[in-house]
This record gives sequence, C-alpha cells and structure tokens, in this order.
Amino acid sequence: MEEKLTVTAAGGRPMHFEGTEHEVPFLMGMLAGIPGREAEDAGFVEHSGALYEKMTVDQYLKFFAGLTGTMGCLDSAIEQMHLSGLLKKKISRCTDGEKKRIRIAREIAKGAEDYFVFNPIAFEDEESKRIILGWMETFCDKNACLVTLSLSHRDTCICPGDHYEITADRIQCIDPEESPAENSENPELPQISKISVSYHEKNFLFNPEEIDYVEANEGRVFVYVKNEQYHGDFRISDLEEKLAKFGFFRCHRSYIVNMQKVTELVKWTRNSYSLRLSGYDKTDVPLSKAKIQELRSMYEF
Amino acid sequence: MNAKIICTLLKKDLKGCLSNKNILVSFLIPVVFCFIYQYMFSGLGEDVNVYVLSMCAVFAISIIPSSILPVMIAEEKEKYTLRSLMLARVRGQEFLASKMAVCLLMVLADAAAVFFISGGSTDGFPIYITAALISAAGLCFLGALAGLTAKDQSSAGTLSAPLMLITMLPPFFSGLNDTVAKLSVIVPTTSFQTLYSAAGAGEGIFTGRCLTALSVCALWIVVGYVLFNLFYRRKGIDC
Repeated sequence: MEEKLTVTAAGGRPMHFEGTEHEVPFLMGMLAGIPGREAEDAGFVEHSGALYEKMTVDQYLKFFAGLTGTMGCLDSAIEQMHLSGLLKKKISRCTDGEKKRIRIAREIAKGAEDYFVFNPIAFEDEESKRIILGWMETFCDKNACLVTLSLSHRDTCICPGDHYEITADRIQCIDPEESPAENSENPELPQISKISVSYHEKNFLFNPEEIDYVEANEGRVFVYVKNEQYHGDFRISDLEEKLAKFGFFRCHRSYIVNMQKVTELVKWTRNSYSLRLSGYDKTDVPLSKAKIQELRSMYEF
Repeated sequence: MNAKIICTLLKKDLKGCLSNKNILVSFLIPVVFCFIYQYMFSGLGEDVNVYVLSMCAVFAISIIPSSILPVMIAEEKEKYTLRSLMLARVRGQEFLASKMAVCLLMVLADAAAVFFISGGSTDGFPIYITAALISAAGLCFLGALAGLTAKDQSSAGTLSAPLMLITMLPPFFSGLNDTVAKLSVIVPTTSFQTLYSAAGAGEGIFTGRCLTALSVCALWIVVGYVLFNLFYRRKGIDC
C-alpha cells in the first residue's frame, strides 16, 4: 500500500490523509521516497509554532529566501499565498489562517517542489482557507506532489484531491470512485420514524427531522443533533436509505446531510465544495464534486 | 560552513536580541550597575573607577555567554524555529556560530560601554577589549552547551545559573583570603582582571601572571570546545 501511495503521490494528484501527528514521519518518508526527487527539496509546513513572531511577514519570507539563496521565488510565494497586503504586518498579529499562509509561502520562497502540509485548513479564517485550497488545486495540473495530514475528517474531505484515512493497521481510501449503479440504486424505503443513537452509554431516539447531519469516520457513524454528537450502531449506507424520504442527501461518501438545515453551499475551488448548516457556523460539511450535479437537479439551483 | 548563511542568521539574531526584553535586561545589567557604582562611589578617588570598571566588565563577561547565549539557543528550540532553520538547510555549526558571534558582539558592546562610562583610559582600551573577548570565548562554548542541553528557556536559565555564579563570584571574593585568591585564578574572569591590571601597570603580556592568565583562558577555550563538540556529535543540535 505504501509503495502504491508513493507512486500515486509522484503522479501529481494531491493526497490528503486523516490521522494523528504520529503519522507525520511516515508521510514525510513517503515524500522522500518519490523517485527522482530530493528529500531536501520537499517543503514541510508544520501545524503551529516555528514562526519568528516579532518579524514582519516581509522580513520573515526574505530571511528564509536569503538562507536558501532563492530570492527569485519570493514574489511567486507572496502572489500564490496572497500576502502582498500583509507584508508589513507583524506575524504575532496575524490570524491562524494567515500564519498558515505565511508558512506555506516560506516553503514556496525556499524553492520547494513537493510539499507536506500538516493541518492545512484547521482554522476559522475563510479567506485563508479559500486561498490554501485554491493553491492545493493547482497541484492537480502540475508534476509536483502535495501531501497533507489533517486531524479532522471533515477538513480532510474538503481538500481537493484523493482522501485517505490512516488507522492503526491500514490506510484506506475515504472516497473511492463511486459507480453510477450505486448512485442510481433506488430501493424500497422501509417505514421508520425514529433513529436510535447512543451518548455516554445512554440510548436516545430521534425523529429524523431533528438530525442535522451524519458522519462516518474510522468505521463508526456519528449523528449530529443540535451540535451534539451521538454514536449510531448502523452503517451509513443503511441510514442513507432510511433517511432519504425525510429530505436527507448523501453529499459525500462519509456524510449525509439534512437538506432542510442547509443554509449555504460554499465553493472553495473548482473541485472543492462544502455545505453550511443552520446552527453550525464553524462547521463545513464536505460535498463531493460528483454529487454537485445531483444536488443541482434535485434542488434546482 | 557557509558565510552567507551565517551572515543572514547573524542579522536576524542581532535584531532578535534587541527585541527580546529578557535578553535586553540581562544585557543592560553591567551598564546599569556601572552607573549605580559610579554614583555610589563618586569622590572616593581614581582607584575606585578602576575597581568599578573591572567589576562591571566581569558582569558582562560572565552574564552574556553563560546566561543570554543558552536562552537564545533554547528559545529557538522551544518555539520550533530551530527545526524550521534545519529544514532550510542551515547546519548546526552555522546556527551556533551565529549565536556565538552575537554573544561576543554583545560582550564587546557591554565592555565598551562600561569602559567609557567608568572613564577608562583610551590607551588601555585595545588590551581591555581583547582580554574581555578572550575570557568570554571559552564561556561561549559552555554557554552553548547549556543551551543545547536545555529543552526550553526556563530550563536554560536553571542550567546556566551555576556556570554564571562560578565565573562571576571568584574575582569578587578573591581579596577575602589567600585560598580564595588561589582558587579564583582558574576562572577566565579573574584572568581578564589580571590581564587588564597588568597592562595598566605596564607589565609585559607574555610574562609572569599574564602568562598564567592567558593559559587559563586558552584552557577554558579548549575544554569548552571539546565538551561542546562531544555533546554536539552525540546528541546533535535539537535533542
């Protein structure tokens, strides 16, 4: 599997992993193992720290470009991360999202070809998210490698590219290509009116209309009701069938969303979309590109 | 080692020192004490000026390499900026060379400030500043060693405190009795005082007590370099 992943990484399509920080050495090793690439040329973007907070953005980027003798890459770094308006700003005053852009710009300024980014969009700043996701998408068209690791399942699924989940004993693709037959399947729906879930070893029964969205992660299914997370003992595909007639939509391989609660469709890049739900201001539910057309025809937008 | 990289790091480290309040306070201690002593002992004669100068220079020589340098190194480890430098192909030797150079520049600046505040004779300035730098050089390696060993800035302070006391106190108490005077000869700060006072008295630099003082400084540099390299080779820079 690891060899296959290395070959895939070399192919240029961004790869996004969900896992813990213990996976960082493995993923860095994967980048280093790409034939014809120097491990030293890979850019490493850490989750936090590693910034000279008293410097301005301009001073920081020039410092690193000066160290590696790649001042020629500086303008491109500033342009790609949209930092021209922030150059005179002290790093300590930047938001988390801006700091992430600065870290990525630092690696671009160093002349990196391949990148490893840890927790690429784990912050609230929407503009920065949009810029970073846009930058990620450019890897779909060029012969360079981008590998990311997110602690959040949701963040992993929003990033444009292939998505993988690293568990204790294996790496599995979160969203393999779905066959059209699977999508067009229309089984008879069972008559149900309650969904049984558990929370702190207690069982609850919810009306389907109360459920906001459902998430499948690490082999478990989580049901979200009014910002609370409940655990369900069923498969997401079973739940999809049960909830379909109540206005739920399978927006991603790992997510089912109550369309009555959806307030916004966010387009991050050409290939990256998410849904916003009422009462979940800081949560983006991933929307597969393959599902957009289906959603458009269903809801005529 | 790449001179261009060291130069880039040096500029960054100098600016960093000026914007770090803790470092700035430590850096200003010898100067502040020099003003205080000048005020306290004013009117007690010329010899007092020499005593104040000698004492405040010892502050600078012991505080900066054994207190500021470890904190500077540990700060980079604590904030993970050291790792980002390593990933930018900066070698450990380059990183440490820059830090030590900044440390010696700070000793030079402090020693010079103290010299002119206490009204030292400009004729003796070259030998004074050379003696200060030679005395501080050995301590720089040990200070860097303390910085490499420390995990963060607070542990750097704990680790470097004994080194600072060992180098700062003997010259002050050498006048108490003969035993302390004999023991104090083995620290480079006493060597500094010896070299400076001998130059003031017109003694030759390679004769008598000056030769002993120079040998002590050389020994501290060699021992410091060997210990530092042993640790650096075994543990690396980001242990």
